[in-house]
Amino acid sequence: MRRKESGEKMKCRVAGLFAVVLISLAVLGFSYAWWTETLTISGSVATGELDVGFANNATQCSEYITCKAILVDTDNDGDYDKIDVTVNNAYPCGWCNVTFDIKNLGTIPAKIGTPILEFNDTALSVSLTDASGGSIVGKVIDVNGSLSCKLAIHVKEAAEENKSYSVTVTIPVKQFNAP
Amino acid sequence: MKVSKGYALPMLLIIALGAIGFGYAWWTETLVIGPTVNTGELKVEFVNGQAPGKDWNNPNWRTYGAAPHVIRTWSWSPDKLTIYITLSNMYPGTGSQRFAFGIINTGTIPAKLKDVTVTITGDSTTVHYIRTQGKIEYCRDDLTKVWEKSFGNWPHIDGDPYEKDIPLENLENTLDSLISGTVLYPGWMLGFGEDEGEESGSLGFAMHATAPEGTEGQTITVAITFTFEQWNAP
Repeated sequence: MRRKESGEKMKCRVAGLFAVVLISLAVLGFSYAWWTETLTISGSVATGELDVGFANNATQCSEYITCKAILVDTDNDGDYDKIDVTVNNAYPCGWCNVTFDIKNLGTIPAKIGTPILEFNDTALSVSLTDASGGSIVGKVIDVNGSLSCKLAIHVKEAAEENKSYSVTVTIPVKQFNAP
Repeated sequence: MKVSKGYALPMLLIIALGAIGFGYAWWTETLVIGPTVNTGELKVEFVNGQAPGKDWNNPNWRTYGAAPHVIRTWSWSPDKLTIYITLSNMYPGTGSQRFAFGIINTGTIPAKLKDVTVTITGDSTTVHYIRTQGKIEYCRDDLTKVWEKSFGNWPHIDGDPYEKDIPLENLENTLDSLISGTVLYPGWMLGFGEDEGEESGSLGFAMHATAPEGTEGQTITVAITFTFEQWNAP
């Protein structure tokens, strides 16, 4: 009976010693590991830039109409992303053409989307084409390349005297491989 | 249906990204053109008239004539496109009763004279014995003369002044043939105006000396309308 009690005491002591050693090692930050080796592939990916802007703007109007087009850099990034056009003294059957280039200033080809033309179609007709009168939708402009365009504004007979009509033309441009 | 562990993880990832609003997009740029179209104005109106270089708004020079007792009145419509002329107490042998006025383009685009309409009210026999004459001057905005055209017995001369004059009923055709199609540029003028004395310029009306008894006590009213259209109208 005494021998049995003495054996159990011994087991408790050994277990207590292990626990103390483990806690001590953990407190001291000791760890246990297998030998290892690490291979690393280091790389960098530099993305390109999709950037287009207006250039080479010019205007032409019918007699007695005055027209001017000014390039505007709305975000101060050095590129012209807007053309402000003012047509004065317009009259029925009068017209104004604004010619300009869309220039690819980025590092990847740019594709022209479908332009959005907003205007009073009772008083005006407005069209946006390439220089030869064709559609610009889907045209791809290579890096450093440009696309010559023409915005044609025609005043209809229903236009009122001494009135101001606003037109907004938005040209979306996508990366060349966008669907 | 049992989904294997190999597919479940990507599916969970996609659903999780969608749930927190992740999207996939191609790069895009937007260019904008913002035109403003301001229309002009077509406006032509009468002004009181006299010679180029003189005051076209001096009301004292509206009418004149040598014959006594004749009453001349005139006015224009509120839109200043029609001029109303009334001649009262005319009698056979009445000399030319003259009205001086100008038609000026006060708008911003050229205006073309489409036609002239003369509406006459009053006794037709009397109308037949009313004769007209006149001289029209086409002037630039600085009032320098480009051309002048006259009709009837102009300038008025002694002797038989009526034979060459135009019967009032022919005034519309006469004016139409002389000046229709004329383009008035902004500031330019068609002037029925006094030139260098009462013997020239303006639009004149006389009564033929052979007018019969039946023309007594009549009042003749003449309305002359000048219709303009924009210069490039077809």
